[in-house]
Amino acid sequence: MNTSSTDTPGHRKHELDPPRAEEISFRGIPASPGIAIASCVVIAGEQHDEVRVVVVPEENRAAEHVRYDEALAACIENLRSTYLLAEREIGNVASILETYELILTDITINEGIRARIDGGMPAEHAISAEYDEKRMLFVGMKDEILRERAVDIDNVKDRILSALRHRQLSMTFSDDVVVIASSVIPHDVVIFNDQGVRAIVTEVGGITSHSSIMARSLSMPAVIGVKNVTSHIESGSIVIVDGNEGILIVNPGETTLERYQNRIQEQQQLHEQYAQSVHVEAATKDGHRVRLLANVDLPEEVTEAIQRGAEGIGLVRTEILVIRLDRFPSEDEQTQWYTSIAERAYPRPVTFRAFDIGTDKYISGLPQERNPALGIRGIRYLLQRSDVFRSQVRAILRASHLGNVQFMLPMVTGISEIEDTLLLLAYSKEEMHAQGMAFDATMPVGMMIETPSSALLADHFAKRLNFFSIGSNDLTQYVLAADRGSDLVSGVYDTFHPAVLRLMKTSVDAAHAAGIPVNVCGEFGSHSAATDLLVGMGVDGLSVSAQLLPELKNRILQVSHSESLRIFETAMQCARPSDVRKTVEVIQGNFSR
Amino acid sequence: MQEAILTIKNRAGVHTRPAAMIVKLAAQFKSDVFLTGDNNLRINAKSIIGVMTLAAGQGSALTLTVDGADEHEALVKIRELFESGFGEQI
Repeated sequence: MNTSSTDTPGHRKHELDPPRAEEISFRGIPASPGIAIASCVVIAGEQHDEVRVVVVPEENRAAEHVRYDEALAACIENLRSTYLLAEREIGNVASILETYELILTDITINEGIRARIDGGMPAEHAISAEYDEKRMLFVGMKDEILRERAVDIDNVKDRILSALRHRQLSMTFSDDVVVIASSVIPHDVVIFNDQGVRAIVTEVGGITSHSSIMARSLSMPAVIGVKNVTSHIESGSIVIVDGNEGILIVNPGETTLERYQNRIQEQQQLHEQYAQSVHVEAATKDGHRVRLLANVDLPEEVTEAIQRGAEGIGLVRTEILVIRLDRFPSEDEQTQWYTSIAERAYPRPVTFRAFDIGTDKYISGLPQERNPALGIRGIRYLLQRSDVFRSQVRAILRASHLGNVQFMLPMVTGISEIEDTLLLLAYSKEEMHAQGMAFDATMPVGMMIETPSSALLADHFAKRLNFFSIGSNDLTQYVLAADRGSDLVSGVYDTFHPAVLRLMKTSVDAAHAAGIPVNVCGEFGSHSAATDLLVGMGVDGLSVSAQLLPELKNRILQVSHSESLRIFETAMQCARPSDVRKTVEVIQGNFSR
Repeated sequence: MQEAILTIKNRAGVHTRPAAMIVKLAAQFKSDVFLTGDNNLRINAKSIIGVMTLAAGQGSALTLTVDGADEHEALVKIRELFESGFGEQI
């Protein structure tokens, strides 16, 4: 696509004082489809989940001190109001909060942070670095009680960093704005959505980061990886965000505006066209059925997914509840939420995935790990926090009484994790039976195939479970040892890699040998070049964002099953991801179009 | 400048709650207040991080150093706090 406008030169480099209304185009990575035209709010400043270090120019350091001051004041104020409340109710909590305040106001910490800011660190980095250094003092301690203070320090760090962030985020967004930020976390995206933000543009972030997934599931157009964009744009400028192509246009001219308004109209027409195929069964042109399912994060999305042709919900990421609340929801809260999703989908099946906590789905109080993607996440976390897991299992069972609920386990690597979970399920069922609670005694239990070991041992897992769902994003990350969120290794991270495809095939074969179905619920399922491969591999169903369903169905309708078998076989002979892509493209070019 | 040797009397030692008590008390005085532990690590008694890193258990001795206008009162009050075992079981 041509990114430059027709009336003024595009791709204009940054100028210190650009004349008003000059059109500038930026290219980024398309992360969530759709087009938005609106005025923008620029959120400058580094975010704390970012590792990149920048040096703040001397003249801006005073401003970093002010940002820290304000965050500190807000944090203390917040702590005190909670403190008053807690003191009345639970004395113990109050004393924890008091300790937090003492840490926040600690002289050595504050001197350390000031010195770091004076040295050119942005406030976020100064805080992180100082708190992390102090934390290390406690990690090696002999005394267990004191060792646990490392957790307090982490908690306080999170509070101050989030106060810093909230000061930025609390600038009230009037409806219909585009947010342009250095980076966002999934929680931000949820808040933006609640506030009526139309689209998001960020400087960093890999395409499969959870913020992108969140944006997609909320149908919010997003463009990521637009380098240094926050320093080039002023809040209030009119921008066009093209989430299909990954383009941001600032101060669009008449011609550009018209072009994009037309495009928005075209898209609406396309959607209407897709709407007509909603009631057509998803099958290849030679009659091979492929189940089309939707990934949802919110009860409100279920109805929309069904309207777009979902035969069921293939993935509910329950951790969104935890991220939203920033605490673990009670059993009752969960039951209500799960039930509202199961009811909306009924009689279609709904697969709830157990809390996948860890890595970028960070919540307060988690231990900080050197390598969280390889750390305590998914089923590992749940089996350690049996209180959390038990309340989720009970809530899922309570929501299962309609008979359309399935339960899925994330990040499984060993058989014992399955055995422990099945034991907990059996125990909970007995307990609930004794309590006279209704539930589906035969609720299917399955697991994500997202670690190499889960794919390699798929035959063993298949004997113990009722279904598989391949999480292509994490599987790719772990098979290729490439961080899915890092743009430095985004060239290594490639689901078309033959190694990834072979492990997927292993799992599909193992599932079918045991007579259980296998779906794909990762990004790969919706990739326009992957449909032939997945059908040829023998996958039973694809679960994707609701808004991608109509397009995916159209592709499946055009695929030939017998041809896709051949394509997959050829692809399995390839040594390189690029060869796999070529195979798919050549064959698609010859037959499918 | 005044100094005193203080002994930790309570069973649990200087864990979080006593540390908070020490810091809050020390912060009331204008004088500089320092504590030196077994390991010769000298920390600012007005810093909770500092006091906690002393990791002072029952029976260990700390050197209290106070320096400033109200140093005598500070020394007396802080010594009292230690003597009381921070209001905990001794």
